[in-house]
Amino acid sequence: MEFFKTLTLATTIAVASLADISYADTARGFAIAERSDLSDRGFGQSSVDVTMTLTNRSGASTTRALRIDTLEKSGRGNGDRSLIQFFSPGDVDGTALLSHAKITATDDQWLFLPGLSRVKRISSANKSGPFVGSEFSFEDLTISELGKFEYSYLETRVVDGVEMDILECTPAYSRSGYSRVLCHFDTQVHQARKFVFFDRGGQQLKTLTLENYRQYGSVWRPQRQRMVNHLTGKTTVLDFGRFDFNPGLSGRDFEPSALERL
Amino acid sequence: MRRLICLITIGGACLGAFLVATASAAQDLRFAPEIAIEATAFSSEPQFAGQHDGPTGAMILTGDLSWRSAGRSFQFVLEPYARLDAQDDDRTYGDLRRGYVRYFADRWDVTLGWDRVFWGVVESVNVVDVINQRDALENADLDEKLGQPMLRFSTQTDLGVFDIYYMPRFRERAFVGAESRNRLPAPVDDSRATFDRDGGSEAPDYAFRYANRFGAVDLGLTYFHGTSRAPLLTLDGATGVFVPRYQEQRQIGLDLQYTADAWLWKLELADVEIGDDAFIAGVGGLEYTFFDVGGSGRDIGIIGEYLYDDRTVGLSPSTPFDDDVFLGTRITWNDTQDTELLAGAIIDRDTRATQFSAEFQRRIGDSNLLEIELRGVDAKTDPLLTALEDDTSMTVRWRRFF
Repeated sequence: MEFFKTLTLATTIAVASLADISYADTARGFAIAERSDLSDRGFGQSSVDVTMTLTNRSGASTTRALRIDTLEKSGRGNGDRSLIQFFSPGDVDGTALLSHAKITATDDQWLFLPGLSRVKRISSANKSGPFVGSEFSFEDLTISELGKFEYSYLETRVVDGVEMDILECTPAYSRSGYSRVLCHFDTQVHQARKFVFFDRGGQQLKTLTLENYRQYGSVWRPQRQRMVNHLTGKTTVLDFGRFDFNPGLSGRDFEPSALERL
Repeated sequence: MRRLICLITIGGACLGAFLVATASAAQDLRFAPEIAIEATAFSSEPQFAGQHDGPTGAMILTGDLSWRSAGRSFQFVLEPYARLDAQDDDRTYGDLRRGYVRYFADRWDVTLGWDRVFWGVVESVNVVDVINQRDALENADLDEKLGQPMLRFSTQTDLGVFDIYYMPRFRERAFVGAESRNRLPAPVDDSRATFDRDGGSEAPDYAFRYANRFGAVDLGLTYFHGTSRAPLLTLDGATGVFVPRYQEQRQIGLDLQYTADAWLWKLELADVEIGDDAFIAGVGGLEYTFFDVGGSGRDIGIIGEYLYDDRTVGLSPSTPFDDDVFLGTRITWNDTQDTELLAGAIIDRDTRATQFSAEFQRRIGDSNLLEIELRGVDAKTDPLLTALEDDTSMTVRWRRFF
């Protein structure tokens, strides 16, 4: 879930930083984030093919093909489990990243290196670094988990033609590259629509928009995510294929031992 | 043996072409060929008369073909490998790196065919990693492996992962010839190889692995009984060549990794019996990564490991890594081109002999990879390494993916 719904819930409050934030704003902020999280419950598992397009300031672009398998979280303190497989460019074909997201503890991550057939447990301390050269950082992949942020309600207004609840989200985990994130949820179907990221210095860094929402049974998925880096002018666009919510996966497909069997 | 490999490779390629032709509608069929060319230059004149002088070149043909059935019950994988060396016939060879069929049930799977298996956690020398024969033709570091024919049963249980391996035949190590650079002090005569075990190369090997994870700790316990992948080399004074002798090996291994924040603590230990020798081999150390250094997106990892081995010289295959320190670094740019640099040196605490290497890679465009490798040895007085002393080299490799 982490990746495609990505910033679905990112939310929280810099309680101390803003004197006028009241307990009521905090409670309302959390309620909005939780409502969005609840709208996604029960999806079980999913598999989706993704095209990632990286474009630099001068317009030169390169693409990566990947597949994201997701197993819905179970048990307290656990987030979703995700498996990201890379198919192109050719030199990264076969590489895979398995993540067991945790709410408060550090995530567990394993990398598969196909040239050696090696499964390597890696550190998940990397939060602010770029994910495979994209404008998405590692923390952007796992922050959809409710509880990774503190949330504070700011206002409700029309943005990009849609009425949105806007929250101020503050990372509740260490090593984040962000001081705060403005999280936008629409008021109709409660899905994340936009995130505005501010770096540690308070400068606006990136904007993520989630577009072309499509309903699959009871859950919604954006078919496109666009991340713009305001400092570098670079963009990363994720185009999603049709989500398969019955890919026939099991818990075993999300164990490290499954990586050498892809 | 080489003919068998060629036959299997060609057969596999035909089967692959057939699969591509008949199953191209299947969404889980993947075909990814690769061609590479490389050139190597040496910093010194050769040490031995008759060794190749000047640069060398080679072409490499390889790639993956894989298919997964719609119900996910069957998997087919084929990875042939061929190296055509412009100067060195001994380094022109073919291999089936992987070529297997795997059947998946709910909680277990079984694999039949040629596969590559990695055991271990450390970065310098994996003393617990014993399934595959090493490819001594590709480079002197022995970090490439030949495919190993096997029947493998694996099961995932609440108590961890259990793997059982049956390996019906042994693959001998192929050595470079007398004219090749990076060779031993004397050539190796493969044709005179002897085996301690009844059945020779047909004597089956068995292995077992148990793996589990406990929070931040990943644990592996392994057992191997079979033919030692490394031969004991005995110099025949009359003909001036090394004669390989493949001994019986029993080994119990432990690999352990503790992952804490940006730290990785690693240990590999092996209790080994080869022939009449019994010894302990171990490698332990740590890896620390400075992520996103200065907000640049670059990661800089530093690695330090200690290598120990108390085998008896002359009783079992020799190793230079008896009391050594490995220091290394890995720099990952995390850029669009996936630029990466890996550099390290293994230093013998006794002889001060140093083996060093640096590998740089960067993607050019969408489907080319540029690799630059630097390798060398400063042997000092180490008798196991002096033959390599004049073979410090730089290799430039261009890989094209289709």
